[in-house]
Amino acid sequence: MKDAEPVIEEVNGDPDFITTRRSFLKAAGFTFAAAVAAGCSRPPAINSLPYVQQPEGGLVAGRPVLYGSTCNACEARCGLLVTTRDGRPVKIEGNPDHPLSSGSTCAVGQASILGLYDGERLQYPIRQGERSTWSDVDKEITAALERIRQQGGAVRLLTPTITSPTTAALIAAFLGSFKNARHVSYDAISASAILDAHALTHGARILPRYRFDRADVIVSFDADFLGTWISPVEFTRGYSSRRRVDERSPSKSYHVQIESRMSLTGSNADQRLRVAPGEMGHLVTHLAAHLVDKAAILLKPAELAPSPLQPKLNAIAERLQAAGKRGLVISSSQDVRVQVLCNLINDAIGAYGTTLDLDRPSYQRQGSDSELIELREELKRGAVQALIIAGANPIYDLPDAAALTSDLRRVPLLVSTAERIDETASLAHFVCPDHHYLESWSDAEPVSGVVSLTQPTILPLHDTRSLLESLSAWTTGTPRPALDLVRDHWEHVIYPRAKVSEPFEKFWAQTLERGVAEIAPRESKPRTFELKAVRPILRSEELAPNTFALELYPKIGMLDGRHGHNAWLHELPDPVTKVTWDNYACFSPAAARRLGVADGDIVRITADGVPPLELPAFVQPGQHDASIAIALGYGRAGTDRFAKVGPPWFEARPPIGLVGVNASAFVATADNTRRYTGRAVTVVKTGRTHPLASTQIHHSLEGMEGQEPRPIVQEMTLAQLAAAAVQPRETEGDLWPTDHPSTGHRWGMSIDLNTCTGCSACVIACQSENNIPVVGQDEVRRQREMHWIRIDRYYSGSDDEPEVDHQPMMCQHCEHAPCETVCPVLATVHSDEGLNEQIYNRCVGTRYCANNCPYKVRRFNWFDYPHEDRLQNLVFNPNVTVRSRGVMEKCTFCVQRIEETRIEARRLGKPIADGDIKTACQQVCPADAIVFGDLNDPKSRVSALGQSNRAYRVLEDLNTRPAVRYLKVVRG
Amino acid sequence: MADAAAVHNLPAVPLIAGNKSPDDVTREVCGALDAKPSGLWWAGLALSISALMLGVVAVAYQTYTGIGTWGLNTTVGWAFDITNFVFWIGIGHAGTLISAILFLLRQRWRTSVNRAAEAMTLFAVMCAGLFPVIHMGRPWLAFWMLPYPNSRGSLWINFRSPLIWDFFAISTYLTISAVFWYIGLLPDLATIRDRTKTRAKLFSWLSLGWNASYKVWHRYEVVYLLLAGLATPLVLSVHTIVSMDFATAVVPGWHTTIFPPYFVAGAIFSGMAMVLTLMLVARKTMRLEDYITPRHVDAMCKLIILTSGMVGLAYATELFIAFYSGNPYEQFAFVNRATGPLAWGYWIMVGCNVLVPQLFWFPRVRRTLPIVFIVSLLINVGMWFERFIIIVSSLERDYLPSSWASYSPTSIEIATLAGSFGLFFTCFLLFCRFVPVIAIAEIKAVLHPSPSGRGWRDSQQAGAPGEGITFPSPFPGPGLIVVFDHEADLLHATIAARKQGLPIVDAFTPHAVHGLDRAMGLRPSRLPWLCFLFGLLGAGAILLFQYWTTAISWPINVGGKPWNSLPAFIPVTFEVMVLCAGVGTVVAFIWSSGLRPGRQSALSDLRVTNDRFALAIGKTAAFDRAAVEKLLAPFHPVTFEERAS
Repeated sequence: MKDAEPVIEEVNGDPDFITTRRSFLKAAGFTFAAAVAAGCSRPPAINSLPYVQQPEGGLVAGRPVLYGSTCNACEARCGLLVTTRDGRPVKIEGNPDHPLSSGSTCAVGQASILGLYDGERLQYPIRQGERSTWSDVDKEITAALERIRQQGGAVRLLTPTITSPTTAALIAAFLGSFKNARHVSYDAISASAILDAHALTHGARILPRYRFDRADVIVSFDADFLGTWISPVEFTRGYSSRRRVDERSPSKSYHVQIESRMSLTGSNADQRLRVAPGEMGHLVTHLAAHLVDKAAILLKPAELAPSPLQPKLNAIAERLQAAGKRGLVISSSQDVRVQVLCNLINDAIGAYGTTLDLDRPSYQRQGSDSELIELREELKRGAVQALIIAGANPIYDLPDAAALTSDLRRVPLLVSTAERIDETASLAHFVCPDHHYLESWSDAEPVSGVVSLTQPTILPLHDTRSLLESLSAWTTGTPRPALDLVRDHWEHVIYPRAKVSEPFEKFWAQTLERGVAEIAPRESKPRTFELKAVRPILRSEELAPNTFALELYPKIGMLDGRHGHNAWLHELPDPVTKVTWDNYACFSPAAARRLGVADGDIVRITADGVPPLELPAFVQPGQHDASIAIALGYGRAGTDRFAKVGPPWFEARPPIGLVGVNASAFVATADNTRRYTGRAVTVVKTGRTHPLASTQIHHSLEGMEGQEPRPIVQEMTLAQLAAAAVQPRETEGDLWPTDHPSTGHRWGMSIDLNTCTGCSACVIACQSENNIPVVGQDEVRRQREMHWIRIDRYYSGSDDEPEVDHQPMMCQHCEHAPCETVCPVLATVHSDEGLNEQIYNRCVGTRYCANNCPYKVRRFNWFDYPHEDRLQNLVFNPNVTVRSRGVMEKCTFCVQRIEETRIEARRLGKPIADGDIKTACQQVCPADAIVFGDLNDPKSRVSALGQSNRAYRVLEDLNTRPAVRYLKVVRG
Repeated sequence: MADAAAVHNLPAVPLIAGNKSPDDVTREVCGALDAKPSGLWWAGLALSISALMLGVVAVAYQTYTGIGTWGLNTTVGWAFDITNFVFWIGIGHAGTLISAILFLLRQRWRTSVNRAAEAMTLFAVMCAGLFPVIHMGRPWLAFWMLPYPNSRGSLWINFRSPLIWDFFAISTYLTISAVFWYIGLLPDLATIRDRTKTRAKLFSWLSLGWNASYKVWHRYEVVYLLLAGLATPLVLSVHTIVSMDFATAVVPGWHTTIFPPYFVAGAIFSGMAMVLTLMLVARKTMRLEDYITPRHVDAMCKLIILTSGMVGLAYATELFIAFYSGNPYEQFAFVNRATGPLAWGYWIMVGCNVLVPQLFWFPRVRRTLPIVFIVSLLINVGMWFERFIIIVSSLERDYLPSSWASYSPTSIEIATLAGSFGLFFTCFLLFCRFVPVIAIAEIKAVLHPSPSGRGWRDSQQAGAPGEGITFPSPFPGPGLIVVFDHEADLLHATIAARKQGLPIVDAFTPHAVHGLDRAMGLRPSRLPWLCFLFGLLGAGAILLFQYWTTAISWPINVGGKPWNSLPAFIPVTFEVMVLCAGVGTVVAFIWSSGLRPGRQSALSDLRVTNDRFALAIGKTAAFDRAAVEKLLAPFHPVTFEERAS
């Protein structure tokens, strides 16, 4: 018994949450005593009153309540429906009414709910490193600001892009009271050059809204628009709508990706050109020269150096020319000249107005690098008296952090609203922690005219305060409730723009319920194209011998590092490399051979003027031979907490120190923009190794050299599709008698491999829905990741320029499931609705089912995998069992959703309609690649797709008869 | 009985060296139990117990912390655990082979090794049985494998799962092996009982009051034959079923029809090697050189060549079928096995199992015991790797390349493997000390007649063990007890007495005497019919039970299989049939022979459990002692004794 006690300790962990037998008996005893005592005296007169204000929708235990809200995980601001159960948010769903995200979210958005329950968020305001109270903090800050106001000192507010109109208005009001005050915004992953280029070419510093749904030909120079660039969910939705092949008249958009690293977007391209970062501008110029010549716009191509890629570019130019206004050229380059050239091409083909919308521009990136550079100059001079940093982490994000640190130390008043003591907040005199967005009121206008509300879904867990309230407190002396601030702004600014006849109250209530409203765009009058701005780039930049061009990129999940404390995102395999829990230097196979490095060999990367960086190498097919790619967003302060993730046992090797390495010091500044690519670096092998935790170690569809690729991911061409007539599927005979006729529902799924981009949103959606534990780096290294849905990624073709396939893989719910027959204790059996069911409490853990699963989708609880942070247990979905150690688990087709819908349908006396049930992976999918439904209903979408000529089942030869049908990739 | 020497074309050397008398055998084998153990024994025990303790600690840690302390992963769900399981089960098979199959084949040389081989079987099956339990994610729920009525509805078990077949096969195998072993031990336990002073009570209890009665011997022989007959298909079925753990799976490299014979051959092969290893050790440490002679080793070596050839043929067939099948997954599995990340293990397996045993073609090698010992060890290693390679290399890289993984064991797994060896050797060493390592009764039956006829009587030493002990209880019923020194005398005396119409009450012999049943006019035993009946009942009942649980009581759709999955019910039906037939027959034998713990044995002469033969002649009205003495005089009677009551 003595030995058992630590277990209880271990399971319950946080002393606040311990319910021991003793404390339980104490409480029970008290209750009993109280009941006896109460029974002895005359009951006091209590007037029971009903709710004066019924909670909206009526709070019923066990019934979910969905709140329309806006995602705050990045600046794209997708629409959300936050599912709360018993008063606590447990799952984020996309808001189908939202015009940008249309019901989808990304992996980061899905994971942001975990951040709410992060026990390491600040729980109270901080004054000089000590716990304080809001009134004290406010008093001191307002007093200090008052002094500065009287002295006419400089006040600066540093934020990332502000998409919230209310916040922007409050900032303006707050800064307006000072003589010398300025709002500086910057984006950690900057798109400043696009805005600057439009300022040059169209006279307005705006970001066009890219309409991939209207694009027939897309040429992307390095822009990872399906992964991390600006608004990936919106872009993926638009893009995939043009990749969905209608079999009656097969067609799809043509996508060219010109890039130096293998991005998720590049992995989906029809044509991918592998070029060095230094060549990019030169190639854009070539493309422009070709097109502009045809459109008879002036450009002098005479001095233009030739490029070996010219024939390919000419062909691309022809396609663009043919597509005309349905073409789109984009670039993520931070070189304004490149962006201007892109604008020139888009203008020349007439794309402005169709694929690029300037009338309803995007506000998802507003940061200005030149303003940031100016602020840094001011800080260096010591000219800033008060700096308020809201939502930004410049010490982490910006290069030359040491100088910035000493500059910030000299600022007389430094206030941060960071949610935790991060790199920057540790310098601040006051830390006024902001709410998590799921606790607060706010709003957003990501694209001109699309406004949405953020509403709290739970009372604040800690003594934190919304930025809106803080700003109002520092402006007026007393904080106004955020709801009042938002409502006021909406009543006076947003509502008039809505131009609706109903009264504001109704508009407000409707928007609150719907989560989003579409109103008139803000005034913006872009000029016609200004040709004078064009500066052709005549030749590509040459690299010194033995140097590499560095490419820093945001990784799906980590982005700029703002979610560095989110364990789900750390464990999300990178969609391309499949590595978790680390960043690394990607080398091309040729470069790796030349340097003599293999995966996990630590290399030292040096450049002039920056401290060297040591991180593991990773060999990435498709990477340009002269470039290295390193993900930003790693090495955040405090991530050593994740050493506690994963099971403690004596051979475990938990990560030491921070997760990954911060590479932001290598961000260069040139021509008033921050450059992520092109910096020349040298690489040396250190001889040490750091094994990477990858979820996939074999990457080709062939078993071995010389074998046919396995027909796991199947492809066909547009021509084949057009030629093929729909044929009835053959059904093979069976030796066994059919004792299990399927009469009711038969659940099945269809996954369109042609639209799936591999973005991995489904992985996190599933994790959130199904209480899937995080196992930690060491366990991933041991190949024990627990994700129920994974994205298999295969390379084919050459190592240098591979073709990439993404295939979501989850339990196939085989009719003849090999796992079922081998389970000795009937812990995995088949339901009469075609589900392969796993009964956790019956499982004894022989693992035979997993061995016998040809799809290897079964996951075993090797240990108890509790949340490293006990508060995060609140994120559990109460409808899904938390599995204990020693049992098998796997995708259930979200059986809890099926049951919930069934109960609801029964209550309403209606049959379950097609589309009523959406699995978590389907709900989140920005590409709408996943369809779930009843295979016995001939009219359901999933049945129709199953009859398609593209439909096939993985490993069909085994006669396992999966309920998941894949639709073949369509090439050409 | 054919002469073993003639069959094997062996030089006509005796099976047992040293010109031993039965009393020598008794004294030497029993003496080993009473003597102080050697230093070598103590050292071995210390080492074994250390390994066992290491294993116990490892298993305790793993049970407490989680099965994740093994190097397994999502793709490779089995590795050391099931490798060890199959390895140990395989080791066990040689014991049954030697005791049952060689018995049926009348291989008299088995008598020197069968006791130890059976013990080895028992301990190996114990070791094997541990792994399926400890490999579970939740081993404390292992009893859920039993089909017992429960409060879940009743939720039964999945009789379609090879793991359930395994469970039935292993438990039947363990039970039948234990019973077989024990039945074989009974006469020897009585022999020790009558010779020891220190543990007499224990041995008296264990020997169930065995009194050397030939009426019991008569049934005993039938039971032993029946058990041997049951154990032979059982041993084949057990490894067949173990192989079905793999063969019925869809994993390329597992899903092959060759597995049952391949596994059985491999099991016997590995078991033979282990028997050799153990016998060579026991021979030296227990000073049994006279009993385990180079002739035995030679015979074992030849069996090893045979089984090695079978295993080699299986390897080649696997490769050929993979090539011939045209199945790319299958082809890859075998190319991967031979050239992939675990190729080193594959080549250890081929080297140790196919190449090294070829040395035994050379008689000189077979007779050089140190080389035999080394080869036997190498075969053990090779066979362990065979199972490891089959399991891990197939799992590591199956259908979806995305899920390919690699495996390496953790210290816990290695400690557990060491622990299983510790358990095995601890049990074996204790067995050597407390149980006669050589089947005393059986060996006496195969002692080569000494050149000097009955000369061994003269060589007897005065004061042999047991001499001077008074009769524990009188022989029931009035009659005459005639004691002989030689089985032939007894046999002929019985025939003569019966011819004279004297009522033969019983005979008492240290070992079964062939032909005595006919001489005494005993009817054939009805135990075979009982055995058949028990088997039929067991098979019928379990077949109906399986049908009822899966198709009627709680039908569940399992992998789309029909409610009545008859082919899947066959393995369990067979196992339960053997279990019922075996245990039932033994119980019937014990009951019908009046044997039971605590029974006072009534011995006509203490030495009837050693080297004397007694004939009990009933008294009729016309009984004439002088005439009887005269009649039996030619058969060298030692004593005549008249009993009144």
